Amino acid sequence: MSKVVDLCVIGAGPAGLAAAARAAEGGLHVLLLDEQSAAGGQVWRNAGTALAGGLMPTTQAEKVYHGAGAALQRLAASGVDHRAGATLVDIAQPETGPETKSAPEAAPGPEAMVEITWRAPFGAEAPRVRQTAARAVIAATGAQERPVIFPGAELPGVMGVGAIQTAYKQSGLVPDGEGVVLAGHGPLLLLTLAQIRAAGGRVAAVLDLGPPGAMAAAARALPRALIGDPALMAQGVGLMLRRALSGVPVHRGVTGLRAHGTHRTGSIEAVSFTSAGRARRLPARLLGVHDGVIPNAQVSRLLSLRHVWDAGQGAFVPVRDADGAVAPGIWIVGDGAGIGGAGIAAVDGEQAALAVLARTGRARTRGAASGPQARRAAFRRGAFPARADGRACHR
Amino acid sequence: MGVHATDDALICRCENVRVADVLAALGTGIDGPNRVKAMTRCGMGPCQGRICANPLTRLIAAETGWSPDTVGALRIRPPLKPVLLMDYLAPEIVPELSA
Repeated sequence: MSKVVDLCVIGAGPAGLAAAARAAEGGLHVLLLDEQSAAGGQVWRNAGTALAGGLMPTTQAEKVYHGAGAALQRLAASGVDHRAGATLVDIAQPETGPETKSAPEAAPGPEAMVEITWRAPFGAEAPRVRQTAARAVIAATGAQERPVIFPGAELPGVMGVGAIQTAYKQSGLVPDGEGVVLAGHGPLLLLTLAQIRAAGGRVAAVLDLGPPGAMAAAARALPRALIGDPALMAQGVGLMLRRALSGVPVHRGVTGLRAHGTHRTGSIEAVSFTSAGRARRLPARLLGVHDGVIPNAQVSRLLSLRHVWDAGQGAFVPVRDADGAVAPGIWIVGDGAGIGGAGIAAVDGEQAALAVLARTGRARTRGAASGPQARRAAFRRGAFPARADGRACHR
Repeated sequence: MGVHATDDALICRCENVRVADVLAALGTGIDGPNRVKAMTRCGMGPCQGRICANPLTRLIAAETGWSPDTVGALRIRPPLKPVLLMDYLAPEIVPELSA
């Protein structure tokens, strides 16, 4: 027999944390499944340890993890059943066919029961694969890096800038030594560069894969992109970037990127590319690449929901109603519904939880989320053109 | 896809499918990501399209001149992440095995 919960929230980043806490505060029995060993998602990865001074000075951690402390405290006080290290295996609506799933309306009733199959963390008692029936599901699966397809991308020593971020946030590690090259564009690339430099690491070169002006645009988007609080980070971004870029050669308008090496050597040996009409080759051990982030759409794809292409983000996004509902009993919130950043994601999650509560008759009012973040959430998305749209052509 | 995707670039790492393999499939007259998948195994591996789905839609759109909405995306299948068969066949999931 499946266990039954009022609400299953998938993902414990800013959107999922807000959704789960709000629903539990409203009296619902909430199961929060999250793949990571601690709540926070990618943007607040390992926030608990960092805010306690375990990774970096606490003054720095309070900037990097702005908003995380309050969200984690709220989760702890909310009574949410949070399962860290749990992996989503399958999600299905047994009672409805694919043709009815695309209607973005959240009608109550037994047909809205969603069957979730998930794997408990390593070390958990049997059975490790479990099934939970949920009266409602809020999927907050966040973003993923857009894969960069170029020859040599699969070689050891090539990684997404997001992976460098993960090592930094999880373990306080930054790449160091000779031959660290970053290639790409967008706020996350600049932030990672700044973090590597601030931590004393060296970067041999930056290859700008964006169109002219994209790096300046990325610098302007930097505070909002990662922190979700422009007021806090806007001060000091200019200085941070000047320090990050000082002494680092930047190659503009890079095309024809290629990584060279073999699987035997454990790292690449060089990168080649064309910049300003000249073919170039640089020795390199580690190449971090970045082409923006896109919604992680695996839940909505598995449910065969309707998607539309968002040209600004260069990715499909699920079709939602005003509260974020995508099908009876199912909501998709946060970056997984379209890239908007942590601040918008939290409001989005809150709003979906209010809709779930309203459906059960437990919410006093709908749409209680308000303020500038909520207004921005209403306009949401499209804030970070994921890549140069004009370049989205093959060769 | 962009200007860095030469024919020898891997588009699907799970199934070792290169851009040239996708182009060859398109050249036979098939269209759409799911037909490319059936022909080349692109997107059929354990990551279920996390790497190749977005680039594949954009590659096909660029090659055919169709909009990404017309091209569509890879369908995906459970399990979303690899799971041990012995875990999957637990009595709760497959009651017949507990008899």
